[in-house]
Amino acid sequence: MASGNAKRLVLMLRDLDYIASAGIRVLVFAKQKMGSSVDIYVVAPQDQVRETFEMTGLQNSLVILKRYDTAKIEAL
Amino acid sequence: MESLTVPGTLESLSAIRAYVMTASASAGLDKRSAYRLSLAVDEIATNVVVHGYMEGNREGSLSIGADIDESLLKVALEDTAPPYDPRKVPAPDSIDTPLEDRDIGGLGVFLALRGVDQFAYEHVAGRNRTIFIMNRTAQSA
Repeated sequence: MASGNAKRLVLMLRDLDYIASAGIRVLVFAKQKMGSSVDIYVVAPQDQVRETFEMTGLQNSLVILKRYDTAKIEAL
Repeated sequence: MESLTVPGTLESLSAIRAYVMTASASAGLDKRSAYRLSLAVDEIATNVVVHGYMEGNREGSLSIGADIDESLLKVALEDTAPPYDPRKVPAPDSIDTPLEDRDIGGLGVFLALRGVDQFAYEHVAGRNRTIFIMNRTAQSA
């Protein structure tokens, strides 16, 4: 993880076919380490991956985008 | 389907996964159900290997079998690790708790229990037997 002051974390997930609890823990841990002022974006998650985010309540803490939209990401 | 027995190591997880995919295909599960079943078995099998065998410096095996009838696909995973009932694992912190405050334990078992239509566990003849049941939909003939 960066020791600098990251503004946001953007994850491109279009090619991610599968996520298990280990992956969910990585996201939770990242959020905890970076603090609530740093947003995590996930771009184009596949349906089943998105469903797993919802089952674990992550959808409230991630910004889910269908595509990478520079304007949107930098404005938020 | 004929059952499969593999060493209780992390390297065996891909064979377990392939077995579950074959069973799901034979049962005609839709993509979403097949994924949830795969994830459930993966989570439990990983726990068995890591907590049941590796952490205790034990060796053992994993056996997996599948039964398909008219309405259900039933997958049974057996291991010889110390008795462990996944249903007794405390639920993780509420999914409404903000991530910053969440304790991240228990998520794997939570996903396994939630992902399948029925979940059962028994301890029989010195083995843990975890049973994952998915309903076959009307379309899967």
